[in-house]
Amino acid sequence: MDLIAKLNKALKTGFTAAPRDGTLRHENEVAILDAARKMLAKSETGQELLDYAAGKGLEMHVLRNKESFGFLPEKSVVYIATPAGQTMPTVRAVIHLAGALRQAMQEDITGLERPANTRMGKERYIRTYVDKDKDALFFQTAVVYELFEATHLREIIDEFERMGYISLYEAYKEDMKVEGLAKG
Amino acid sequence: MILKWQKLDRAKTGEIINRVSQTPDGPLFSVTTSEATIAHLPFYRGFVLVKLTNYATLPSFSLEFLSDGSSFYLLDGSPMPLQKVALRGGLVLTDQNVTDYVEFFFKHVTTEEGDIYLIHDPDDMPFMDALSLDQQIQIKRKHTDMAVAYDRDNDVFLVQADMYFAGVLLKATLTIQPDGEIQVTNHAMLMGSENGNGGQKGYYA
Repeated sequence: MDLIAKLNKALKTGFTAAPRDGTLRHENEVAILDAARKMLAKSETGQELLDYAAGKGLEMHVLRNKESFGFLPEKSVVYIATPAGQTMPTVRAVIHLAGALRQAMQEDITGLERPANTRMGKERYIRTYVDKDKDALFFQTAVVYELFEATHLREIIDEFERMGYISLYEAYKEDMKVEGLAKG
Repeated sequence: MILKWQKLDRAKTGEIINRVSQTPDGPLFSVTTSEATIAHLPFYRGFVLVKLTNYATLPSFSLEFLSDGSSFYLLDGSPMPLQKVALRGGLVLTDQNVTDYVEFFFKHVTTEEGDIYLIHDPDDMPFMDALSLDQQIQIKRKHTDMAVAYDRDNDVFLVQADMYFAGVLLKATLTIQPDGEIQVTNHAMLMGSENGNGGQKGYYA
C-alpha cells in the first residue's frame, strides 16, 4: 500500500482495533509496554531506570492519547500514551517513559524529591521543579544518545529534534567525545 | 486558531472528573489537584473542547475531550472521537471555519507513520534546518498558502495545502466531507526529506 493510501485509510478509520469505551487505558497496553521496555533496555541508562522501576514495584500504564506522560507519586504509577489503535509505542513514548521513570526515581534523591508543601518559599519551590525537569531531560538525552548508538535508527534523533531538544543531544554527544566515551 | 480557555469551578471540575477518569486502577485525576478548562471551537455546535490537567503528576498531565456536557469523547489520536461528534450533528463546516477544522483534525489525529503537519510557514517546518540551502529555497518558492473552495456538486470542501508526512513534503488537495472525514487527493511531492521515511515501525524487533 502506498503512503497516501495508508494515510487516507488512517484518516478514515483510524487503526486496526476499536478502543474500548469507558476507559482511558489503551486497548493494546500489554504489547505496547512490552515493546517500550525492550526498546528502553537497549540503552544502559534505560536499563538502569527499568531496574529501578522493577525494584520499587512501580506500575506502568498506557493511555489512549497522542503524547501525555507522567508519574503519579501517590499511587507509584507511571503513565505513557500511545494513539488509540496502535500496537507499538511511538519513539516519543519510549523517550517519555524514560522521563517518567526518572521522575519516579527522583523521589529517592535528596534535593530532587517533590516538594511536600509551598512553605519552603516560592523561589526555592520553583527552583526545585526546574531542577527536576532539567534532571529528567538529562536522562532522556542520555537514553536518546545510547539508543541511537545501539541501534543507529535515525528516527530516534529525528523525534528528539521534533521535541525541540536536538541541541541537548548534540551537546551530550560532544561531551561523550571529549570524555573519550563515544563508541566508534 | 487561537483557543480561549475558560477555567471551570471546582464543583464542575469534580463532575467532569467523575465522568471521565475511569481507569481500572482508579481515578487518574482528583478534584484537589486537577483543573478543568473549556474552549469553544468555531466548527462545533453544542460541543466544546474540555482539557483536564492533573498538577500532582510529574510533569503535569493533560487529556482533552470533546463534550456536550453529558458525553465525553477522549481525543485519543484516532479520528473516532471526531467522527462520533460529527455523527451526533455537532460539526458545522463553513468556508470560514473549514481550515480551522483541518488544523484541529491533524493536531489530534495521528497515523502509524507519524503526525501530519500542515505547512503554514516553511521556516517553521520540521527538518527545514537539515535541508540544503538550495532545497530550502526550492520549498519556499513552491510554497502556497492554504486555499478553500466549496464543491457544490459533491457537497465537499476542497482545501489546497502544503503538508509534511512521513518524511515527505506534499502539495495536496484535502477533501473534507460534511461528516468531517478528510481524504488526501491530487497530491504532488514537493520533495522527499533527507531524513528517510520517518516511519516508526520495525524499531522494536
